[in-house]
Amino acid sequence: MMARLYRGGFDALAWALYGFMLAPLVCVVLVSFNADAVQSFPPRALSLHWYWHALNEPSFVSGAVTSAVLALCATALATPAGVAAALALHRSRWRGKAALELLLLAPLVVPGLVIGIALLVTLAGMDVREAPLRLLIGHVLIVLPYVVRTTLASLARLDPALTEAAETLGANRLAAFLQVILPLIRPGVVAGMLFGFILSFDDVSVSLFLVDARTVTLPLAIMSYLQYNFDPSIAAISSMLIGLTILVVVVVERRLGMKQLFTG
Amino acid sequence: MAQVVLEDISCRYDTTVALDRIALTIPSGQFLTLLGPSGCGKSTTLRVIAGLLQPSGGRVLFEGRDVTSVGSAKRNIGMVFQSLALFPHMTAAENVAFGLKMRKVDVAEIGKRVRRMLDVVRLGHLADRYPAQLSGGQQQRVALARALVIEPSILILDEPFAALDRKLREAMQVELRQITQELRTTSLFVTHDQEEALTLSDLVAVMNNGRIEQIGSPGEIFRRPKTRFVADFMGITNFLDGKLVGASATACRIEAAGIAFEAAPVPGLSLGQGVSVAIRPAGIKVTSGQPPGGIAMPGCVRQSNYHGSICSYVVDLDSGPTLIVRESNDDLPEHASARFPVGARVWAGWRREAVHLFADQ
Repeated sequence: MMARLYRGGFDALAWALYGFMLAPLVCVVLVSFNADAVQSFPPRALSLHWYWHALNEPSFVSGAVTSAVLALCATALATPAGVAAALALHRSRWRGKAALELLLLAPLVVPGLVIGIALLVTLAGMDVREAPLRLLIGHVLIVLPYVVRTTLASLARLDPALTEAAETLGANRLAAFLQVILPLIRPGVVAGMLFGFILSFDDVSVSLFLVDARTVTLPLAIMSYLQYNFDPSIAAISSMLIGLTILVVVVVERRLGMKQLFTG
Repeated sequence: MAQVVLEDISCRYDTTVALDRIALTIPSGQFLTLLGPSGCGKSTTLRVIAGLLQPSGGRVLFEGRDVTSVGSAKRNIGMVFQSLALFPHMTAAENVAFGLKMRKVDVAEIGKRVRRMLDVVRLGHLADRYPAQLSGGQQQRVALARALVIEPSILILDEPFAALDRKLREAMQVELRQITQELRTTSLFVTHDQEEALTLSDLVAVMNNGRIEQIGSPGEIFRRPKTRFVADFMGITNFLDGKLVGASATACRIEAAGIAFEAAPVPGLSLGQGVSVAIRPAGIKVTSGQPPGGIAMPGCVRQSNYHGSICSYVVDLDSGPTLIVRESNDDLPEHASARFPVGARVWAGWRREAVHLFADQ
């Protein structure tokens, strides 16, 4: 009896938490179909008008292109670097290892705002003034820790004798990595890339200091639009982002098995 | 199938010496086992031969060629790891093919050799299974096939059967012995299990503290242990402290545990020198009365244990020391589980051949 009560209570709490996390997203999606000119909830009439509006807003379109290219490039640069760093950390036995690991994961803990300001100051000092380059450097820093983290976790689960086995069979270091280690850690690497990509695409605080008038990322474009307009096109663009994220997650789940990525 | 020679191999980590000037020859086509307790250096020796560890001194020769500075990828060795280290994302056939692929053997040839080798280990029908879909014994055989298909100069096995249950392990031992004899592969096996070593090997090298204590055929090691350590490791558990009191060309006379008795002569011992007297548990006979002739001491049964085909007794001798005795249960009446109850007064006697003498260090 008591056990059932506990169980019921636990389930209720779990559902309440799901509701708490998802309700705002559901609201945004509903508002995006609003036909009115102001954001109101619940919507009184439905239309796709604001989607059309959002897709015709030049700052959203160029922002989306900038963010997508930026996130792709940052992920493409951070992934090999992150995997290499994780391999080195995994193999090394020296004393500074823990410190280096912490350093590589620091961008996860240090507030984005601080990273943004630090980069701004440093890059200005180095006379790097092009916004695209500054953004790329900043976003590599966003993606890197995720790739390192998930790759390290995958490596930790491997039998250390696998590389030696490949080597005794005649494989050089590179062949052993490409044919044995990489296929086995791929789920972890992909998970890190995915996290990194999404967080780069979504970032405000680091980018805030690195953009200029010509190069603006989508989240910042949305923010500046919001300063002067409060129409449902914001909800529409947000809903599209939610849809895109779900799509990516579903595709990855289908191809690799998301569960395996996170629980190992 | 090559002769493998270690010359003066030393290995040091910081201050500890893992290998202390090891010299070892594995004759071509022979099966040699390194036997010893954990930490004795047997795994280090194996890694040096495999090229996974660079020795601090000495040379490794394969068929007379110095390979000390050659990496393991270029040594042409077949290795079976303790964890097997099968590639989990490859099928049994792909695992076996890996070494040939790395050697750039042409595809048709790879297919042929992989199939032939899988047949040798009787896994032809499971070629397309992944390691996770195979039983422990089948995984062992994939690992063995993967190591053998490249026709290695030497097959190296690092306690591969340690994780198997007794029955499967014995079956795998028989199979391994048969396969290596069939292919005439020079083999190096590492284990801490003396029975396994004696079963499999042409030669056994007993290691202790980074040195080889004794090397010889299984029969030699078992019957004529040269040091107290080897005797102990071979299951001779009875040691009495004694003294050499007489010696002739055909016998020497020992005083131990309050009596004097004869043993086979041991060269290099001097009169009055302290010796360890080792007596094999199976070499001692327990009787209720004093046996006629031979060596015997009175005592009392402290413990009797039934092990199925054999019985063991712990006998406290009146003169002080304790002996462990093992005897066959062949003559035991059907319902009895021991010939002597705990507390029985008995005589423990042995033939002179059951005694080994070691000079005290």
